[in-house]
Amino acid sequence: MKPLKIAMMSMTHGHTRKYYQVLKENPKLDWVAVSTANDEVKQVFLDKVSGIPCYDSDEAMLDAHPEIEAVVLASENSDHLRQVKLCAERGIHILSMKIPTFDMAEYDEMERLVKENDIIFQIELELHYNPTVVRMKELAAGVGQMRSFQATNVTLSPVWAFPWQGQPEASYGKRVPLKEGDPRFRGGALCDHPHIFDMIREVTDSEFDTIFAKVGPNIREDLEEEDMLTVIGKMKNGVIFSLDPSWSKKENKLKVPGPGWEIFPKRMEVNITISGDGGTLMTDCFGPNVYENGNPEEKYIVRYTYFDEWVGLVDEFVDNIRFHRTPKIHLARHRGTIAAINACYESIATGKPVKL
Amino acid sequence: MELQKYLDLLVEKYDLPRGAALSGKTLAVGGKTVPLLPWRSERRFIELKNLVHDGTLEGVSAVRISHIAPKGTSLDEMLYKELDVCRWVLDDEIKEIATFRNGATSNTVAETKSGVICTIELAATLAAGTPIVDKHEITARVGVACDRAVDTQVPQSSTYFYTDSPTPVTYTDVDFELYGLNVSDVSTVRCAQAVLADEALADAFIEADKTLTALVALSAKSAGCGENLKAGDAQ
Repeated sequence: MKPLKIAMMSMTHGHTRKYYQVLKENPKLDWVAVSTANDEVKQVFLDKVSGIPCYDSDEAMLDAHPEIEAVVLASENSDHLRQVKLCAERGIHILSMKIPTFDMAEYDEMERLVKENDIIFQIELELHYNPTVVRMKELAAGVGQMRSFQATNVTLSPVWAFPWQGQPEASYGKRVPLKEGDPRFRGGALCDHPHIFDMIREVTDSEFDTIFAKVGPNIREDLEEEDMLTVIGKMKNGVIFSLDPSWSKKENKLKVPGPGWEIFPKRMEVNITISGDGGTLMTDCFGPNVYENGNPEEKYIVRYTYFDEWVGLVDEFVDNIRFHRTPKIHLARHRGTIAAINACYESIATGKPVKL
Repeated sequence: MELQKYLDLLVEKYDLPRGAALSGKTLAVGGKTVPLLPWRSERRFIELKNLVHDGTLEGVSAVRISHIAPKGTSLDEMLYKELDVCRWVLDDEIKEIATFRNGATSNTVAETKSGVICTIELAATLAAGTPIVDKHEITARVGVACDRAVDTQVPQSSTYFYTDSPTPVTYTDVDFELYGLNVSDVSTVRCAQAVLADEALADAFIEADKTLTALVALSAKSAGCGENLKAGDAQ
């Protein structure tokens, strides 16, 4: 199969560096170029990767490389629609970060552009390509009549390394207060953690019925978005749920992620517990690992042994393009996840459960 | 045969040399039979090696290994593996070895050329079918690294499935491309892949096998004579 000529845009997203290895090593890909949103991320990229042409604007890159067939939009959420237009009008396929947009009018526009230009638009929800999650899906039916789904998707806050995630306009798309009298705005931890909202829809084979969410006081005083929240509710098939999408693991304020980033020993955790009449299934999607207390701070931390989700994700993307297949996570499929996150914000604002 | 099927998938995807035959723990390729060292492709050991060499740990002093296996497991095979874990993770060579054995148990202290002391505690005493209980801990002037979490005695799993039995069924899945294989089989296939991707590895593994075989023999000699022996004393 002819290698797919692929490029990356912006390089401001926290997942940018996850693509370096797979874009270089996957024989199905020919990594053509990148465009960077600013000098800072350009330098970070050049420090890590050599031999890939780097441009200062998306347009300059696309004009210089008409051979580009697909692009990874490694950008802040507020830039996605502009880049989708740029790519779609040129017939370039898109691998989008996990949040295409929270604005449903923009979402409609993206769907129109994708359909009219007949391109593949895949959304990066990499958890589906984690082998422990594959096991969980296989075993889930074994709990019998499913009753409850509980999940954490908790991390440190990436805002010091990826500042746009701390800016409500760039993360949520606009400045919307969390609730009356609250100085904080939408765009924080909830916008960073759609995975468990997506996963429950697949595992229960159902859609959200009712959602109730509450924010706690921030554990980071210098953040103008939410970092601690909890979500409970019910799916349309009756399964109840409890979801924790917080930034509950503290971090040092590094400009570039690396050793010494975490304060809590484990940077990121996705644990899922599914209970039914026939039993309980417990899954730690990112464990066990290796543990150390070496440099730079001699603090006890988790050293992850597995972060290969992007291997399977990119394999699927290439096959979707070559065989013109609908991605597992596409815009229509993902709409219910975005709606659920917006419902959480509505519940936080009103103090009441939201019926979907 | 099943492992061969998984290896063939990787050969196809990554365009590796064809025609290699994976059998047990050896790979027949290019007219050579290469003894595989699968633990070198196991993520926890790769990460421990990274920690030793990427500046996270400084000044390694000691390695402590505990390995408890089901009854009937060969202590020599267990020692072969653990000695190689020490050599490979530290990128060092064993210069002295002392072993005491009693029934299906064995305790060994091996010293590397750079002076790191490696304690290897072995037992083949578990009921048949019991998963291996092991632990690898590296202590340095700066930092400790371990493949087991603090406050745990037995390996943790990714998945615990509680149904009718009080004891859960457990799973640890570590490789999306090789999904369905257990950790040990994943390591074997990845090790074979590594040999196919890097021609020089075949000869390196053959040499390592000779060294390890000699060290295991030296350990047996030590257990018999009660002496601390230097590498080269086996002949």
